[in-house]
Amino acid sequence: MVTGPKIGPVGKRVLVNVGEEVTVKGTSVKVRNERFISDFLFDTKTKTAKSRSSSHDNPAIFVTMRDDVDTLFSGWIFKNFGMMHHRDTTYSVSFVSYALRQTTGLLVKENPGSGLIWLGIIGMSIGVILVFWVPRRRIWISIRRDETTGKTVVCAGGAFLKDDDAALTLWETIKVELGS
Amino acid sequence: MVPVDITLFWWSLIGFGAASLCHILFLVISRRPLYWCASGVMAAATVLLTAAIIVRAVAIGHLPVTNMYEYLSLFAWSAAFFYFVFVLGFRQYTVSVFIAPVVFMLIVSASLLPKEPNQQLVPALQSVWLQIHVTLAALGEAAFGVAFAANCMFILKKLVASGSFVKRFPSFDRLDIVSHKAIIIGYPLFTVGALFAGAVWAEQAWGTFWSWDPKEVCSLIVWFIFTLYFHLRVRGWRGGKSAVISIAGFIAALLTFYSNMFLGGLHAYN
Repeated sequence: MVTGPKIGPVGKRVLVNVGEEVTVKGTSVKVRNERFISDFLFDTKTKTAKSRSSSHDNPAIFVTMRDDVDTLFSGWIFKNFGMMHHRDTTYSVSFVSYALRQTTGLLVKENPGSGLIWLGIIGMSIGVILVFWVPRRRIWISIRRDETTGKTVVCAGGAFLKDDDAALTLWETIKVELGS
Repeated sequence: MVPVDITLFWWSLIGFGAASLCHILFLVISRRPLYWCASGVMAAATVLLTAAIIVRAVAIGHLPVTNMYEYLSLFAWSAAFFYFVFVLGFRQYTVSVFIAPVVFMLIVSASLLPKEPNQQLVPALQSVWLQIHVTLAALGEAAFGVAFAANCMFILKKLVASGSFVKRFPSFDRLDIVSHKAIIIGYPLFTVGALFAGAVWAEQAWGTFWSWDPKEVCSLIVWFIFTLYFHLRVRGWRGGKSAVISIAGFIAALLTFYSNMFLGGLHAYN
């Protein structure tokens, strides 16, 4: 709501979207809505205005009002405290009401590596299943003659499934047989 | 009027309670017919729970795994399934005595949760990955539950060495092998189902493979615990030490299940 010369003491109601500027009808006065905060808080450390929460507990807008020559007013005005920022100038401006606009935020990303990740996941899944569930028994035995002592040296190694009890028994048997 | 699936669920709960009681009696009295009676009751309760899950699935038009009650029902069913795997497949009769109370504990936990079905799924849940991810995770965690049962017997046998009923427990080696077998079944299921399938689905639903959601982090901790279990077995850890790690893993899995209740996050759909 804007009051002043040519506007009258009753004032005129102007609708200004955030980021837009509107000329008050019949005057050269322009009103710009710079920013909206739903729950106004002035951070004294950073000296900046921000919202305390997402709720609409203390709605405020930053308004700049100017004519063709000067800036008449520039500052925060509050819906819940209409008289707080009436300045001792010819014109005054107050925040009377507001309406919210429904918007949807969309995040569009490019992910060129996703095919590789799919490949990796398929590979890892197959790998985990092979390691744990596919039965396998492999035994390696190396037999060589030790030239210095003239003895035959037998080295054995094996790979089995983690819970293959029969393979462990077999392995124990091989160890005993080789030992004898 | 109480829905049919809920009625079946309550009957299965009574069945699992009776089966647990019969199993404990078998441990005390040690009469083979009592064991087969317990297994019969267990089978009947499992059939009732299977019917409850199928009836609910038909009623809501998708696999009932979209809230905590439904997941716990599937978790209990999976544990009951592994009970029969270990009884019929591996002939581990005495170990199964401890699996029945684990199933009963899970079904009682499910009974305490709200049972209203989700007729209209949120967009993130409308995916085939829901069935793959949740079913494999439940099966994996149920297998960890079997290991938990075997390891509880191990610890009990260790602590109550002179007790009469612990003499009927399998040997330490046998309990260690059963626990190891269960984790070998559960670990790949959990890895592929909870982590890999979960990551793929998360990418489709939320646009990122990993978002450090509380449930994701807790699942990763469970996976690390069981990975540590395997690593330490390679280093020679057996018996009591690996039993403690396995028990810690299952407790972490249960905490993971409840984590979104306390910590919220993307998995808190209710």
